Amino acid sequence: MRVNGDSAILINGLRKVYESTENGVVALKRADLEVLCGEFFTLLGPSGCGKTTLLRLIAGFEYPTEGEIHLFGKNIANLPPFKRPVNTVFQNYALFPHLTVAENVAFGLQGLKKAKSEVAEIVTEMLEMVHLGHLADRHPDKLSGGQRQRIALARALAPRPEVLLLDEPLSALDLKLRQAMREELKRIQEQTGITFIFVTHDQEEALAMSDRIAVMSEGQIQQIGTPEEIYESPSNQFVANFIGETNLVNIEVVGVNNGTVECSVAEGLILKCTNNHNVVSGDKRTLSIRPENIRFVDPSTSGALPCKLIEKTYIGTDIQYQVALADGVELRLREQNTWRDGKDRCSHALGDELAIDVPVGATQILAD
Amino acid sequence: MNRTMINADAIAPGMSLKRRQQLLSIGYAMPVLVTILIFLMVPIMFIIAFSVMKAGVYGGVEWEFSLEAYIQLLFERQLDESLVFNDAYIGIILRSIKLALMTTVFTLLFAFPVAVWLAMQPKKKRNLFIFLLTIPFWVNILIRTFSWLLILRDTGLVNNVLISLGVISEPIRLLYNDAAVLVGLVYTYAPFMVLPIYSTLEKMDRNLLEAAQDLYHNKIKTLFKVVLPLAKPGIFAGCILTFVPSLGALVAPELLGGGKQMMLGNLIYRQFSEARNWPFGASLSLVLLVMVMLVLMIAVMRADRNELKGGS
Repeated sequence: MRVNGDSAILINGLRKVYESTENGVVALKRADLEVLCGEFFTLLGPSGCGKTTLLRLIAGFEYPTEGEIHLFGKNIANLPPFKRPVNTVFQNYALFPHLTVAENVAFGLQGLKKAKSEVAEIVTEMLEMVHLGHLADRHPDKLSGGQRQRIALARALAPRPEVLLLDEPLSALDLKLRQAMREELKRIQEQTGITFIFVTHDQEEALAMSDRIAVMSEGQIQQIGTPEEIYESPSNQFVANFIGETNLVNIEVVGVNNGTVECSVAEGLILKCTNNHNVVSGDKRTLSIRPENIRFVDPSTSGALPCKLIEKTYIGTDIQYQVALADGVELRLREQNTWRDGKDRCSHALGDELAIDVPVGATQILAD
Repeated sequence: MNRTMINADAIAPGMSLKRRQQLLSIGYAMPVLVTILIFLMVPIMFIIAFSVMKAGVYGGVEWEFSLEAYIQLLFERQLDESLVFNDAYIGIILRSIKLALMTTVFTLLFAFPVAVWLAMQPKKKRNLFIFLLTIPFWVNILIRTFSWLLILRDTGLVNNVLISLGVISEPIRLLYNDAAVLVGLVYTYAPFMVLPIYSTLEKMDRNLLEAAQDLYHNKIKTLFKVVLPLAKPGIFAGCILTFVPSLGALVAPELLGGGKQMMLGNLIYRQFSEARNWPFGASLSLVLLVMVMLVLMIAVMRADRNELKGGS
């Protein structure tokens, strides 16, 4: 019996170079990764970042150039896909058009040579789970996108894989359906207790669903952490920029005292932040400040930075401002568009001289 | 579409739109209909007419009604005008069907792996291979079939190689039998089987193969449970394209069968040439036509059923 918290997938020095093309394309530079049993783990990154390659290596559709993939302690890197107890939900679902829904779901169980009665029982159970029992005898081409998606999920879960791989399964659905399926996926994952490895380029999806996320770019894993860690403490510029919105500001460290750092942004413009990278005076780094963490304050407040409002965008839930500080430094900030006792919600006008406060804990020094 | 309606209005004012458009679509189809009428229906009418006339002494027909040509299919007229059952022609028809069926089966066995292999090639290479597959069509069928004579005859390539290898001491007879005809037919019609199967497989989603393997089916099982069922429409089309022409084949049985192993095509050919019995040739042609129509009707019915089922 697998226990939650065991290492389900352990990847060591995994590398993939496509030799078929001239010079060879490096799809995966090097990946080291551990996915725990029962975890909802997400590979997040823009297209071409190597996340799909990594998933295909785990599934067995590609073989690594170098490195190992351990599934519960056993190296599976060179096993063919039909010998790996992992199953895949494909981006385009890849349902067999010549088989009915029930036959599709039964396909993997037949591959495992399960007894007929057992196959029938599991198929019924799986179709119940995705609420599509009534469609058992239909052909996939008669189903809607959302229904196909659920059948693909039921088909991949039916053989009870050790790990379920999901390759952007929601990307073909429209927004409302996508949101509903997110909750459904999460529910099914919790209900079955199966380890999910989920590939997506949608950061909101990743943040909402995952226990942990690996952010990838250019064939490398940039950061692994919980959604909070990834968002609140991005380890580098790529992660800070890719997850959510942020202001990236070049700074020079001018003073360090008791874990707080004074950073010079421009002549006479000093920001304070926590010293999370052990910087010393004279270091030149990049600072990430999330727009929602910056506040407008009364100009007389201590530590307030004077600024001028140069742009204002109404985006429904929020109002987004662009302000210019000293020396042409610009910052973006967001205010929630809440009802404030009848006060005009966007009282600031373009060109107004205002002041902002950047709280110490709200900024983040990025690694090089 | 707009233009269609304007034209329709000019042609028949006052008619309902639907009716006018129907009329117009028939109008657009006229060139095709006229072509079919002149080049297909009229010759068939001639054949039907010839088949119920008397044979002319020097070929051609005499304009006099007679069912002799059909009687001849089953009976032989003795000198005293009495009829005796004769199975020679029925035998040739059955042989033709048997050979055509065998050709279809062997062509399928040969062509299916080729088509699968072609469909699995990288896209850029595929067109080159398809091009190579069609090269034999550049050469006249007579010459292509004749080349098999050189390969199969007593002093031909196969016998020479086998003798020089010491497998056999005397040449074996490879020509002038059903097997030789079969080789010629399979060779001639293989591309007609490969191409439709290839075209169905080419459209197949490659992810389906990965999905099958992901779901614990090895490559062989994937071939039988996914590739073969999905290739069915192509296999079916290929079988029709092979069976129908090989039923009426002329060149291969003539050259490789030595004229003794006759098929329906040779028999018909002979009636219009040496035998100078046009009505009998015409009636045999109609027998062939009816058989082909039956096969095609089964094909159409099958296609309709598939459409109703909603399958691929």
